[in-house]
Amino acid sequence: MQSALLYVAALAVPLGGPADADEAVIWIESYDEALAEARLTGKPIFLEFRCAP
Amino acid sequence: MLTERNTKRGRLLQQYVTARITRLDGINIGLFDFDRYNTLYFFALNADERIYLRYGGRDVRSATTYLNLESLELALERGLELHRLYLEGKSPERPQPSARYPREIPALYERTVERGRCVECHLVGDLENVQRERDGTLDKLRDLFRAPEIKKIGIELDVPKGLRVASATGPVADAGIWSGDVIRTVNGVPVWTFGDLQWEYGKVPHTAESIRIGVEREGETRDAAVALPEFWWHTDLTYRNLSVDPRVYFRSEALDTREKAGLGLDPTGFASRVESVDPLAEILGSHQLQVGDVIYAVDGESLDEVADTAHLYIKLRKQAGSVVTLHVLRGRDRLELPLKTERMSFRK
Repeated sequence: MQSALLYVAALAVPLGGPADADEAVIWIESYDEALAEARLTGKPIFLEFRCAP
Repeated sequence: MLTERNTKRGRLLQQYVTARITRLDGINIGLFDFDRYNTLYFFALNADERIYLRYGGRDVRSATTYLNLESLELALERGLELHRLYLEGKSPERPQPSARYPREIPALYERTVERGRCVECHLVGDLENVQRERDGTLDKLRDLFRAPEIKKIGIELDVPKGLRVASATGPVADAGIWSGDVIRTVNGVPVWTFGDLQWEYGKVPHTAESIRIGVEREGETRDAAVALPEFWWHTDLTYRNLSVDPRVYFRSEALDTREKAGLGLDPTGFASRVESVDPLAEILGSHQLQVGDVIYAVDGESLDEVADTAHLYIKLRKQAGSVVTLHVLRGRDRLELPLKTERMSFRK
């Protein structure tokens, strides 16, 4: 449903090469979509701000 | 990097809606307020926009000093626990911060939103200060020193273990905090991560003489009154150097007391040696400093209660666009050189 990023959070240490969407945690790029998804599922949100200059 | 679903971190993340924001257009920066000079910063929250915890924070040495996969997993676990308590109605009520959006900051709006440019976190930090300066409300000591170092009060954390104290020295040791204690509150506010701790610590007024730190030890909690040393809030601004107006187009390193004495300079002054000169200095006609010059005074002043270098003194005490006189030692010569300061350009 959401546009997904396959490259995911968690610090600056690479773990390995690219993986299939099925294998990776999916990150939404829209805050509003994340809110809607959280309302629908009852899950909390883990929100990353990545603002490298 | 990829977080695979079948790892511990992946399993934890799948219990969340995970979202990544790379531009702040349309984001409530009043709710998501944080030191904008972090490279990565996370919030755990719910659909009602109640923030459970923060994960992030940094020091001058590195953007990742306090970031660690193990502590991230601890934060994710804690966030889920706090969410469960919220759903059970067991969360304490906390006032929500006022909403505020990038479009409401004129200096930011003009340079980003209006031009269709990306509103990056550091630009919010930079242009909030520009706006404060326009409004006459900029207090550099308050607005620039936002992320005090816990090491200054003697806290070394066992970073993978979250807020477990690896070693306690100085003021926190004097207050009865031990290594092995786990920090639980700052001035009564619960903190679950280093991000929480640095955020709450950063909100303490610079005039405060003490703070209360609550710790857990062997299942019991205890509150310690920690005396704050002079200038406890003062940090190295290097990693946010470009955010500080005025631009001076050189960097200098503080001389140590022995060097200052050897040159016949006040050992308590901000005398510093020019380490690098930005090529823009010549292009803009800003100054004629050379690497190796020692600046021992600015406009006749050689002492400052905060600045330990000449370039920091100018940044903290002078307005962008002003012309100052640098008192310089170049070899055996004493020179007086003009320096014209500039404003940030925000070119991308």
